[in-house]
Amino acid sequence: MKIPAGNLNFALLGLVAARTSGVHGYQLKTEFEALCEDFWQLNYGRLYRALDNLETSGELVGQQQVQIGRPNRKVYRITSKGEQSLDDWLLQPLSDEPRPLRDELSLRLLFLRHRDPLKVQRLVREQRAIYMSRLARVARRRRKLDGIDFEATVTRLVMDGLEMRVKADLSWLEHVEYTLIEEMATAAATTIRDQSTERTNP
Amino acid sequence: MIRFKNVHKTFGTGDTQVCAAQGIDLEIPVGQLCGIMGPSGSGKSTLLHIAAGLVDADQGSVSIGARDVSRMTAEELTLMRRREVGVVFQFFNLLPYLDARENVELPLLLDAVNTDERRNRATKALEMVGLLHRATHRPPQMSGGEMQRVAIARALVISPRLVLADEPTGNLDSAAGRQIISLLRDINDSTGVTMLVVTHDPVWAANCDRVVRLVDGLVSEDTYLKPRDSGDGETNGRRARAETSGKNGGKAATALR
Repeated sequence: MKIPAGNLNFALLGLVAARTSGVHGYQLKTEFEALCEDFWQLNYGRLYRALDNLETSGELVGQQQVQIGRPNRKVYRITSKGEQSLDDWLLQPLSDEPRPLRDELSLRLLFLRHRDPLKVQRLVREQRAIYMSRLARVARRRRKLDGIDFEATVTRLVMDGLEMRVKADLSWLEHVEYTLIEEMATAAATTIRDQSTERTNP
Repeated sequence: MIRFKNVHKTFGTGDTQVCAAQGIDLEIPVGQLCGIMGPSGSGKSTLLHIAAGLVDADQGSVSIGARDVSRMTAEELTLMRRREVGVVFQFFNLLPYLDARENVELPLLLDAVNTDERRNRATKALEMVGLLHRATHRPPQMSGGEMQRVAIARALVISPRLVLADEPTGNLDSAAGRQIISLLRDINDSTGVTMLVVTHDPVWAANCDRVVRLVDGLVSEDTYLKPRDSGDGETNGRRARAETSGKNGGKAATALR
């Protein structure tokens, strides 16, 4: 998903604020990817445009760093105005609630249930594969985070939360499958019993 | 590669009969880290025990590489388990009166490997699990996570072709469990040893290359989780689908030995 411009600015302010000694663009992109790539993609063009804007607005200050044998680079630090913007953003209420995947699934199950039990089962299984793939992405992110030199407690907590939710969704899915299979088995047994009653009492 | 072909297994008789496997077909390529999931009683552990040659299948065959485990004599099976298959259990199964290094050396001792080589290989295996500094400690002096690391080192010391793990994090708290998960994942990545791991925990299973779900002794779902383009790409992992086995290439085999 493309990151909304406002959120990108705050994410960059947050990353720069965490580095009191300053941070250059390449380092910012690496850290951004390690922490946020599940949600947002960021290319260098957008990154440097956002950094320029934050510098123009006075929220960041950039300082050229001379490097021997390599091109110079700009090191960014957060200003007090930037700190204030970051604080305001962090403390404002969330604009939307996260919506669990199962809402949509419940709706589909509601309409599918009496149409075709096998389709219900297929839907449940495909859904489980999607949940597992989501957990696998978190697992890859965790392994990547272990390899970077950046304090990522909150990102880990966000991943813990995501894992807990997906685990709950998977348990619920198992419950759905079990309940529906039992219901299907009961319906099949009733049909067989009715048919055999008809044969003995024509 | 490990291949299960139409594997059947029933325990008990009459009213107490339980069908643990009702025709399981499954192929696990060399180097794959494969998770086995499923509700209690779905046949997960039975499958693992059959692969280890600890339980005989009633019908069907199991082969590791080119060799049919189901046709092996008791002696051949013992040798295979001792030299080619490392097993990790939920409750560690370490001997409490031996220290970590001695526990790790045990499979080599049974195979009459000389003292120096035993010592060297145990040191290497303990190093691999990050526990060399605890080599002289006995299990009662260790945490659950450390004991499981020793058990993993013991499974690796024989340079196995296959590692079988039955709920390796089932007896650990979540932090220790997470460390064991990443250790097994790292070992699979760095050595390419084939791993078959039974688990209840979807978070652990999500670290596998593939997850097979058993229900009532049959394979009900087979999901590939490893992106196929590169080591850590997301493209193909975004929408994992239930698929039949054999579509994933698997990693190149690099034996530990």
